[in-house]
Amino acid sequence: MSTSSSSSKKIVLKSADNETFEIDEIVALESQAIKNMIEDECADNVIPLGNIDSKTLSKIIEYCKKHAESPKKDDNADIDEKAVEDLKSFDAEFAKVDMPLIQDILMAANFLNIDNLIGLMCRTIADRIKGKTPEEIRKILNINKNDLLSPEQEAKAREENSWAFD
Amino acid sequence: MTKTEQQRNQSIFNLPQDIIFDILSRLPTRSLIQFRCVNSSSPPLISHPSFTKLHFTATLKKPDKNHLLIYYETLDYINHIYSLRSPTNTFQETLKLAPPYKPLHGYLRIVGSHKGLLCFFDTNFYSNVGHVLLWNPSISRFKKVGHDPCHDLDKVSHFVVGFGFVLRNLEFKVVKIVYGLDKVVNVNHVLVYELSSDSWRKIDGVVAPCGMVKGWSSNVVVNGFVNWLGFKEVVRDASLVPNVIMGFDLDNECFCVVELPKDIVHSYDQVCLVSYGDESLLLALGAHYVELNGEKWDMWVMGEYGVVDTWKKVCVVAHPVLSIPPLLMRNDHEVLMVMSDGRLVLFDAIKNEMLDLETHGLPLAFDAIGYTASLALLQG
Repeated sequence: MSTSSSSSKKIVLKSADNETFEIDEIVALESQAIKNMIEDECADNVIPLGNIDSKTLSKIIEYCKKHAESPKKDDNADIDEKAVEDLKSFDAEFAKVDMPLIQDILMAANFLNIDNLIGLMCRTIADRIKGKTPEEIRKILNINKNDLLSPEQEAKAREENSWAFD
Repeated sequence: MTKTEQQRNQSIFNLPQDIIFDILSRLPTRSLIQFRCVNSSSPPLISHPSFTKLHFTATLKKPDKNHLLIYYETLDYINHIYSLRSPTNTFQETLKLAPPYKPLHGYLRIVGSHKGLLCFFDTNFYSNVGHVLLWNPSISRFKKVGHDPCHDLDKVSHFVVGFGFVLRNLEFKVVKIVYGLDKVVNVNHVLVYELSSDSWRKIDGVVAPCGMVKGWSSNVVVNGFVNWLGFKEVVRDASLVPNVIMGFDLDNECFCVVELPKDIVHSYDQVCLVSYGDESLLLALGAHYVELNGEKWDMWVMGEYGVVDTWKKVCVVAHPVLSIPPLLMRNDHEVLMVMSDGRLVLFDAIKNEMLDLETHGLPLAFDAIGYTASLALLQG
């Protein structure tokens, strides 16, 4: 899969289901883990990512491409406000995915050490459960019904919640 | 990734712990309290020491600007605590609080409210007997603090208590200054309690520089200092009006003395410290005097803590009968007051209006404090 112009150095990522993704090195460098591998010269032509499936990996590459293209905040003082807004709306659109995929992205972003993406996904989950009742939170997070509190624990927790503020 | 692995990974509880903490630290306290009921994995996560610290630090960055607790006694001498949400200024009686403790000594007084913890002192009126109590109403956690080393000294005549929070090391501290009966020398002991170690210690070589009135002295915490009104000299006459502010630096555990405004009305017959605004950054003072057309409180605010030239008179609360000290200032022109008939009102100096908040109790029993929910006291 070709995803960029031919002039720059390429990195190939291989997902758990053996799909390969060829990307510009600059995109791969969004991942601190890959960056370290490249700097330590322990990266082969193909970097196998045995714990990330192709669906998750293509999502992550989409994110890294966008963020690699955008001017970095600390590059210079004249931050292009339009670019910042553009990136914000990209992030907002990007986060509109279901909870299982968010969690897969989080696991992968954690493994690849992509700080901004971890932050975006954590914020997304937090925003979804903010202001919700325990029942609603269980539904949003797909929490297994076998793993609930015992009736005694639940009663105790509810009593302690008697003065939960807005 | 196999199907079963995928299903297993679909629980956020299988995410790495620091990721879970990252998610939870973005939630307001109320949501976390709800989250504790979600499943059997959630309570230990919320109580994890690393998490409580993380969340606590996050809470500090966004204090609850609109939340007041009003503490008062009704005419039948029953204590009430209500939560008052501004800017709507309406009491939500559903949020009536019942302290989880029956006072042993008769008077449950509020010492202070900081970062989700309320501090009370259970005492009778004029003795040194009493207990410090800490209470987090949001999570119903309550702690009775053990006796300090000086609680039963025969020669103790009176004391003051303060409560605050040290940002540097996220430490809650209670300070108690015990005054002795000695006729000539200004004898006192300074004792500090730290929540983290759950112990009292006497600060050697430090004595309070000012005298205090006998009976209860309320305090306000500004700039990391607990402040009480007092006297430059030890006084015996209980009818004298305080003439100085004594501050105790909770972090460095030393004292400072803050002078009253130079231009304070010469004929003041009462003076009080009030909390100002939402984050207790400014020291505010009320000075009471009587004129032909009625009673007045001059309200002063100190622009920079400890710098006497920065005192500024910001408004005057006037009314024919108005002897009860103001409870707090929301800003330069809104002052929470109690009228002599026990009605709680909000005075607006710009509109010159008294807004009746439709609550009344024993006129002298009111107290008002800010409140920001936190998970303080969740452990232990």
